[in-house]
Amino acid sequence: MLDLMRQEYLAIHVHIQSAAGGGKTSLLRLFQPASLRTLHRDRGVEDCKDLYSRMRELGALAEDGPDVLGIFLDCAESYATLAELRVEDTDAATLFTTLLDARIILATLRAAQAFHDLTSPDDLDRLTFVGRPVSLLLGDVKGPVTGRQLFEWAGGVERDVADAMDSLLPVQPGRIKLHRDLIGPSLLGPAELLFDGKPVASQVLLLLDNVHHLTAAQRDLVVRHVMTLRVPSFAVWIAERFDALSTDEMLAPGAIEGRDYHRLVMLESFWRERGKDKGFEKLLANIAERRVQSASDDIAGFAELLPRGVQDSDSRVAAEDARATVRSRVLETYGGDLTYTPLLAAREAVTGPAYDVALEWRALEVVLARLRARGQQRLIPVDPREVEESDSQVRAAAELFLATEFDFPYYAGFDRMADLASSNIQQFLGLAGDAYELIAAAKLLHPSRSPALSPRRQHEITVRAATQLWNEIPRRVHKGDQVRVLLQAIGRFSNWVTYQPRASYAPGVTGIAISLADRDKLADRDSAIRDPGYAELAELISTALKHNLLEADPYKRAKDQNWLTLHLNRLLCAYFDLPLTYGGWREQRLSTLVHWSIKGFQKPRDDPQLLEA
Amino acid sequence: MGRWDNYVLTSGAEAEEFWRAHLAGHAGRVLCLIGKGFDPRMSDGVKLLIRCGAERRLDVVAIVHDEGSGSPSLQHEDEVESNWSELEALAESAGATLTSFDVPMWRDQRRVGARSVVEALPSYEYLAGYADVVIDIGALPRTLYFPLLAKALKLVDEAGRSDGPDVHVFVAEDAELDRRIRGLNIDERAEYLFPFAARVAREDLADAPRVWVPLLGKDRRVQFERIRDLVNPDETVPVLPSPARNPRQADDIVLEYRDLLFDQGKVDPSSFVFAAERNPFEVYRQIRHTVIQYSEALKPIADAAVIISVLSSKLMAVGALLATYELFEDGHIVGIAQAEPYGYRLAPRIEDADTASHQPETASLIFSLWIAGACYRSD
Repeated sequence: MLDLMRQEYLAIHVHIQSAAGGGKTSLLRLFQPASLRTLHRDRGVEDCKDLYSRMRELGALAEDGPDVLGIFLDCAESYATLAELRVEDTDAATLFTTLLDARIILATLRAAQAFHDLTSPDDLDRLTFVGRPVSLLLGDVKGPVTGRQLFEWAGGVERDVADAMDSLLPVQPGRIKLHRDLIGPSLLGPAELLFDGKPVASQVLLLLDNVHHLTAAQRDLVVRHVMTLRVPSFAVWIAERFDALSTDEMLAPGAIEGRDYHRLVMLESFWRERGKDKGFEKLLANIAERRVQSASDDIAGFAELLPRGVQDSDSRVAAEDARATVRSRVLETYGGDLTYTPLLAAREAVTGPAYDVALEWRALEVVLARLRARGQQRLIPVDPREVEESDSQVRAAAELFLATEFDFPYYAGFDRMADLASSNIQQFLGLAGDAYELIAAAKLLHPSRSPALSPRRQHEITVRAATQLWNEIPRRVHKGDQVRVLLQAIGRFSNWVTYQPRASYAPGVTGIAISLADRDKLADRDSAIRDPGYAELAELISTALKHNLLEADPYKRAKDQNWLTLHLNRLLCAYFDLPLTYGGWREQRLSTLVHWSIKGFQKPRDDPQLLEA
Repeated sequence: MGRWDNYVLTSGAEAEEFWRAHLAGHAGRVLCLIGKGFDPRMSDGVKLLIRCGAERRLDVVAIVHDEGSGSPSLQHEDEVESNWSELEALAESAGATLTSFDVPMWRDQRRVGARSVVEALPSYEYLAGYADVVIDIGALPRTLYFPLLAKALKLVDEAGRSDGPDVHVFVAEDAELDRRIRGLNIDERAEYLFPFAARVAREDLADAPRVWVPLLGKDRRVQFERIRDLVNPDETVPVLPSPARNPRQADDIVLEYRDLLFDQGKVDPSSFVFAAERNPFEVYRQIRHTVIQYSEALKPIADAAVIISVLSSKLMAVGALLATYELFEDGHIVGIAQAEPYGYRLAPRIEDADTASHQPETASLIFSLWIAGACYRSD
């Protein structure tokens, strides 16, 4: 996880965004004093060495211990409720800034105590705040202010605001001492916050988690304030779910980047990039192994307990059937054309396990369909060396086609489980947890046997999880029914294209793409006003992105232009019997997508002229 | 001594007898707040009041809670309309007024029902026009009847009048019907419930010991897990219904939650608290005692935050509310945490599975709780 952080990030403001379960909170909590102290203490322990080394590289840890004061504040509680509060002579924004400042101060004092391993309330006097902003909080105060004074101020403010929030009767004006501007973060630079007269730490990091729980106005206030903040050796990290983003922010991410002191990190996008070097898979393997070790079931090597392939007796019977059926079909369809004789003969000569032979025949079937579709008249038989049947993409498509036609387990193996996670740790943990329960049960029932989970059981777990994800969309997601109509259209379209006989986009299509010009139309509010259909479509796509039901890549290059691709969540790919690769996508016009979002996808009667990628 | 150590609780025929005598004792008007919904028991409380002498002096206010266009409850619109028609006819024949009070449950994807519903009781002056205020919680979700009851108590307590209205709660119990009403689409994240929310969520209590007191009931595992994730307790003190109509109820519940309590939660079996399923005042007493005990035990170390959650029947829920209200008013750091459903569905009775639209008959027993007023005032 720390691979996505750079040393510079401790000195600049970072915006961390992801869908639910992306790992944001775990990342932030790593920088809390207690975590850093524990890591420093256990730096000699084998399991901690990598993490310790990485934190040293980042500058969070020094030789003698933590070097950055991480102040963690969860924004999930209470703030949004302030919008409903009616307090005479004040407004929701003022209540919010006052409460947030108080909580920032309290969290800072707590973090500073933990950082220096202080336990007594009297130790608060060893902390002092200097600088002008303090007087803005406490009023007419001269000289440094002690931690105790600020604790009493902040505690009092929070109690007053909490009493107002819980009050069943009208709140009296003037009861709470309020201030309009957010001041707290300005107090937190090492030069302003002292312990025994010296800077509390080399670096101070304010970690605001769950910012998506704030109202839109509150979030805007925090983000705007943070972006203008320049305090030496002080940075703010904001972690939020995509839920908080507006439609145009979701459709055109990165708009807030581009400044030297501000970075945007989108966790799923980062992991999708790292997917090319199996970075995310390695992370998941690491997480899975640690969790398995911490359980007391005497199980090790989780990844190795998830084999792939066609193993059980049912599948062997199906493999014989597949070999015979596909062979018979190929010979019937193409046997009469003498130009294909060498290809067919080469295939007849293949021997081996029934499944492997079936796969060869199925790959050949795809190749022959392509050759026939080219429509060229040939006089010379096709040389087997000319054709691309050894192409891995064709074989991957053949594997998928066989699995669907003959009910072979397809979604099996640790690598596929990692793919099914859709770059989201929580999604992986759901699947892995289901698999682990069965593995643990097998170990318990038959201690002397390997508890490996058969590919068929893995496949069943995946399909069940995919169905559950699909069924939960209406209840979990705003406008869930309409979102599902759009997703179903994309899924059915992808399935239809994928399973075309010649598998033109092997191993298959798992999403669609829109031009960047169309993307801008969706994100543009004036366009939305002119065409309400676009506004609705934009909202549905944005909602799907927020919940990681669609995965966006705004920089896909094809036909000399960039496209915004929208791929289905990998678990939804399992729902629609699709492969788990990201290569296949089809461009769609906005008018088509608007139609799909209302009417769904209907298979055309004739094969359309499909655009080539 | 707790406020409700002595109490007035009647049910069934006894409740009818009580109300006949009570209404015969004065000529004042009666205010009855109910929820508008598909629950067949919706009008049971109003019917009882009319039977017992509230004719011509009854004002019924129906809380209409809007769960949003995606709510599963919308499948029961026919039942809602049928209930409403029955209530309209009843009110007309009894010379009662019938008004609606709309409560939005959501605003900007935030739950706002709890704050909105308390406006149904806007001031003490509004209540003072009545001799009796009855809140029938049968067709109301917890997010609404908790703050509504708390508001009624608060208004009466703040006024401190010796001639104020009597406040009562009606709970129509029907265990079989309660089992068939299933909450769906549980909130992904639990929340603290207004007006017992902000105090326990204070940042200055972030390091304070947290004691969680969940009142356990069947088929609430999802809610249990989500509330536990919010509260993150240091100690869990489960409350089980015992004695109960089903003598094995407590055992069955412990079995159902076994892994959550013992494997994950490391709950000590000696921590369990038992409270009578059908006596909310005993629930009140047990919870009050538990909270005070933990608060005093932990005081030398730090102020403990005690969070109560109701995963049990409505009768027990009222007891939890009374305890929380009193402890909160006394300054204890208490709160209520819940994970609420987005909507509800009424499953058909097994013998009616083929005719799911058949309106089931109720066999409900009305419990009447007197929670504020004349009987609690010292002479």
